[in-house]
Amino acid sequence: MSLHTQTTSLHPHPPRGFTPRQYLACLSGIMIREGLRFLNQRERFVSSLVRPLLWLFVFAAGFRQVLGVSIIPPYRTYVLYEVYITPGLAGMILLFSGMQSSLSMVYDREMGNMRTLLVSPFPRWFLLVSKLFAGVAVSVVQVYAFFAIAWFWNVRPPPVGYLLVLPALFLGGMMLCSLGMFLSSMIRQLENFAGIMNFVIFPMYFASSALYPLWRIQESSPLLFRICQGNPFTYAVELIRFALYGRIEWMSLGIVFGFTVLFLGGAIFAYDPAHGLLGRKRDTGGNG
Amino acid sequence: MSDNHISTQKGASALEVTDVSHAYGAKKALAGVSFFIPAGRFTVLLGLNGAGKTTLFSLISRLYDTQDGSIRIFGRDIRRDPSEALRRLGIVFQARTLDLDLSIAQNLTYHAALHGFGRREAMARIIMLLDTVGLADRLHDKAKNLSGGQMRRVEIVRALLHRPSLLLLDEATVGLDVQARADILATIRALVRDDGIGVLWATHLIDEVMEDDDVVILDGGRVLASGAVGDVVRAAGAQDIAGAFGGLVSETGARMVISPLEGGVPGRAEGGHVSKDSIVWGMRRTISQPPLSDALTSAPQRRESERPRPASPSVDLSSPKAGGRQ
Repeated sequence: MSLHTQTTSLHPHPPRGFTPRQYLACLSGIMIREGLRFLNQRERFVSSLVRPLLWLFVFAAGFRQVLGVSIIPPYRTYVLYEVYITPGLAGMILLFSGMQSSLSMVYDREMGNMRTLLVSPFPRWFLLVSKLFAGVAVSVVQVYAFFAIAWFWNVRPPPVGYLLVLPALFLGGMMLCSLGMFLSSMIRQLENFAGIMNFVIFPMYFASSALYPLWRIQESSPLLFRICQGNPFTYAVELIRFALYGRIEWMSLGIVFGFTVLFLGGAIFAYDPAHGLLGRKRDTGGNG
Repeated sequence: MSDNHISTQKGASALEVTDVSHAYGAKKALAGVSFFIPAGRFTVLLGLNGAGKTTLFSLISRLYDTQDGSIRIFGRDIRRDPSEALRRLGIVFQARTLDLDLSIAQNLTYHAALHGFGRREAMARIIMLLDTVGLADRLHDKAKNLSGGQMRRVEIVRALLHRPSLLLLDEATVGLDVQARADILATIRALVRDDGIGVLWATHLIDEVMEDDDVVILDGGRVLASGAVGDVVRAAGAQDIAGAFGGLVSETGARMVISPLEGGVPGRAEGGHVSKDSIVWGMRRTISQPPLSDALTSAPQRRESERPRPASPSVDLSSPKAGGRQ
């Protein structure tokens, strides 16, 4: 029986280029796959929530009495430490999830799944952006699950904040996932991911405004303050914090946007077959 | 192109590879590789492990860009017009590339999406293709529950989903038992015979080469010969393709290691020595197990007249360096 010429709805000689509908089909296919992978790894979902919830329930509760947070924008009153730390924990979910996404790309490269993506006839940049978008969408779902639990812990931003924070989460997530994707192009083996954990994720998280306001950090260490100021994650957290309370922090928005473009450009460059780093390494997945 | 390159090819090309070179840092993997694949033909890319076959596949499928030379698929340059070139190409990689946690349907609809087809549009073809390889009833099974041979069949279905005109298969039968190998080969040969699809079949197993095939012999990153099997054998002054291969490769100083295939029983060869895993025998060949074609006689669905004729007895051209790469 012929495998190739039987009547089906797929066209044997498609017109040149792709229609917007085909681009949409490609994007939704990549997003569905990412969603299915996420649903198949329930422990990933649970662990992504356990980490920030531990910080919220244990760390923040313990430090509530020690760390007073004065009235700083966007807050209009004194706030509990749990309230202050919540946007930082949302950023933490995006950060870890973005890096998890990079981990999955290293895994996909090792297992060969990445090749099926990269040999698609769609432009390479579109495939990578779609993959990023899918990864961010999964992260954002996790953040909203975290917000829902935090609501019962009396962390209750204005209802409109839940809507306004969505674009901030997407932009911040794109920045962090792009960074993860760029880093994944330089990691040859899954084992090397521990290095990313120690040298990228933890420093980015701790040297930011996620846990303490910048003014407090400045009081204790001017050097650390400068480092926090140069850390793009600080601006992602502030963008989320302000959006959650119905405001736009323009400087953070500009900086996060700028770093997103930079990291995304780096990732596209690294995965581009013409300039990228992969072709200079032995990563053919065969022995012939 | 190497000085001793034999080329006897003719006809319209599905794939043109011209003076392609590639290096990993200082390590040269391909040097001035040139050949072409006629449309609608079964072409075997034959070479030892480390010959450069997988690197060549990676360049043809644009996982990497060519550092030197050009690759054209049905006239479309893979660098200048990658979208149009890639949409005419179906690829089965050597490594398993199914997502094991997803069902067969989910794996295949994902691939269809990567070619711009929605789920509803693709499902009819998915079911039809799975039916032809006897896996329609496994549509919703997870990929991890399939055997190695079944996974390969799903990967072939996936490569055919978007109706490519040229199919690349990189060591598609590695790790499969004799029956599964025979089934996969028969499926692919039927595609060429019935549908006129062009196939580039990379292998190190000489018994997968048939008399009617075309062959490209690759060694040390260089093409030593290309053309119809009979023409290459004659031009090399050999009795069969194994002899032609041995003669050509010996000129480049390579060593042929003849080892038993999966399930085979090694036999002692005149002038050779038997090690635990392989028979190393200079450039001469030995029979390590019954030819693959003999296994086909046990496949009841194939008639005698349909059995392909191997161009040589069964010989596995594994690299002297176990698992080594060049």
